[in-house]
Amino acid sequence: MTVRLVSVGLNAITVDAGRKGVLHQGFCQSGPMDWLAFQLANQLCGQHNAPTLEFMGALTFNIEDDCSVSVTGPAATIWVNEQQTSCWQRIALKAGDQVRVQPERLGARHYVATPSGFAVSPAVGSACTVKREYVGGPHQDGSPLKTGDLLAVNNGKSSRGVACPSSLPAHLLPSYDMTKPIGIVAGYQHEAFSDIAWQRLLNNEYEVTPQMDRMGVRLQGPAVQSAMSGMYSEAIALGSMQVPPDGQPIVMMADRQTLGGYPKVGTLARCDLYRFAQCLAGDKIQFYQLDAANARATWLLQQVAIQKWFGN
Amino acid sequence: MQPFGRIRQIEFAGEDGLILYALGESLPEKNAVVQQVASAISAQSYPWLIEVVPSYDSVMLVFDMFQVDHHHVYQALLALPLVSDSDHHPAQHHCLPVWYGAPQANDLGKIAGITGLTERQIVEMHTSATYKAFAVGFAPGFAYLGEINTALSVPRMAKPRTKVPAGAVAIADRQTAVYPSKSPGGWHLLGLCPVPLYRPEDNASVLINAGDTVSFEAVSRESFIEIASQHNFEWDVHA
Repeated sequence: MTVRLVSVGLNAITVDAGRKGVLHQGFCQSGPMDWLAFQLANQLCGQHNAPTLEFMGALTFNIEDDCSVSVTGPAATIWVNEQQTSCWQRIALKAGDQVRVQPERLGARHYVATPSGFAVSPAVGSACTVKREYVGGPHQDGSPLKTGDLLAVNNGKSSRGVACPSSLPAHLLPSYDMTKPIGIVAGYQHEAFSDIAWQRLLNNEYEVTPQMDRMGVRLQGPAVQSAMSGMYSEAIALGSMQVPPDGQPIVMMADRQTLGGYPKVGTLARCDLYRFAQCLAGDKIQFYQLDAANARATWLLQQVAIQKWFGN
Repeated sequence: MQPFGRIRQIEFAGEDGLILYALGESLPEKNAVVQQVASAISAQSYPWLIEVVPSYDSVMLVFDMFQVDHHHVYQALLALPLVSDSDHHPAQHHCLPVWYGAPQANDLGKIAGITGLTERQIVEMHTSATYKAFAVGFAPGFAYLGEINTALSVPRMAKPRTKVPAGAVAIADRQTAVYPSKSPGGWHLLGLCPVPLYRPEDNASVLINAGDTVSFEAVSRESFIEIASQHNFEWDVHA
């Protein structure tokens, strides 16, 4: 079974859950930017963490055999041939069908999963495409998918064998409301930032700049300075907010480098990070303080609700 | 969280991570504690442990939030048997050949200008010490080695290069390193090393791990070419 990419809008790569146990050798973690959309795309196809397409801009692909796919992400219009359909469900397709996804906001990231996942030889234990390292993905050199590329699907369960629910109840549909504040868990060099700096971060809006990619998102707003004067480089957790001397925060995302030497004020809460990952240049972000126990509890509740729906 | 033993500070690194900072008078002392703690944690193979990422004076742990929380991890660390130095994953020594002054990677003149050393003294100083890999990061296989002689210490370049060739041997402050693959970089360059530190076809294996020791040996252009071909090392022949 093969999928042919008829047209790639801005970018398309393959991702899975990312690398594991190799950060100490300098390999970045990678993985999907929007974890929740990635996870739900796979759950709708009856699996966890299978190689999935992550794309930006419009995407059109043809299906060469009967199969099913799920498309997830922020608001988008989907056509199967001339028939309009929607995200967040498993769609049964016939050989020869053409699927077209048109995101509402240009630059948002969407996911296409299929039962058993796309066939990508793992590099550094993962199907992820890491451009900066020239590693991974269908071309095996970190380069993205192009118009005309063929993507094979892993042999495995046939689409008819997928028994799990093929759609999501309203309460499991992720919110992409960018006006809702994003939780931040204090940590790292938090003590080196004054109370005033911390309050400034929590009481102002920060605008997303065009300097954003899979490595990090640079924000612009009232400067948040720390009293740190030089520190040794240290490990950067997913979602860490680092602050260079100019006081403008940078949130470190999936393809971030493993070590860095800027002070960090904290880490964005996992329960909100998927939404932050979908922000676009010009969006205004507000942060709220969330303690680690609450952040973990909120994330666990979200996860348990998903597991309960899919019966796993 | 309350520090203990040879840990001077413990902070949250997100809701699924902790970062431990080592106690010590000097960087080598702190880094030795980091290596010891990192090996002791790795040796336990906790089912909840996802990542152990050591660096200069810190080690970050990432855990599975489904199984445990910060307090559980803290209790496990309190009970952690600290292994003696001899029990560690044995550190390796790497002696790396360098074609000093290779035209593709030659800032010897600039370094001489900053330090007041002759080019020959720079090479002698760089080859006369054994360095420790304090951390591996930035890019796959990039090992931060230290510490170099203070007389050879030069600041980073004001304007980083957009392209440093693979194999470039570089210095900045009291650190030295070999660039495993071509990348941007702001360190001053001494020459080229023909032994690959990491190749994409090697998958997840890199030459130098944190805690290893490294020394450099000056080789001629001819030996460089010979060693490079033995290792199938692709180098940029154009200066």
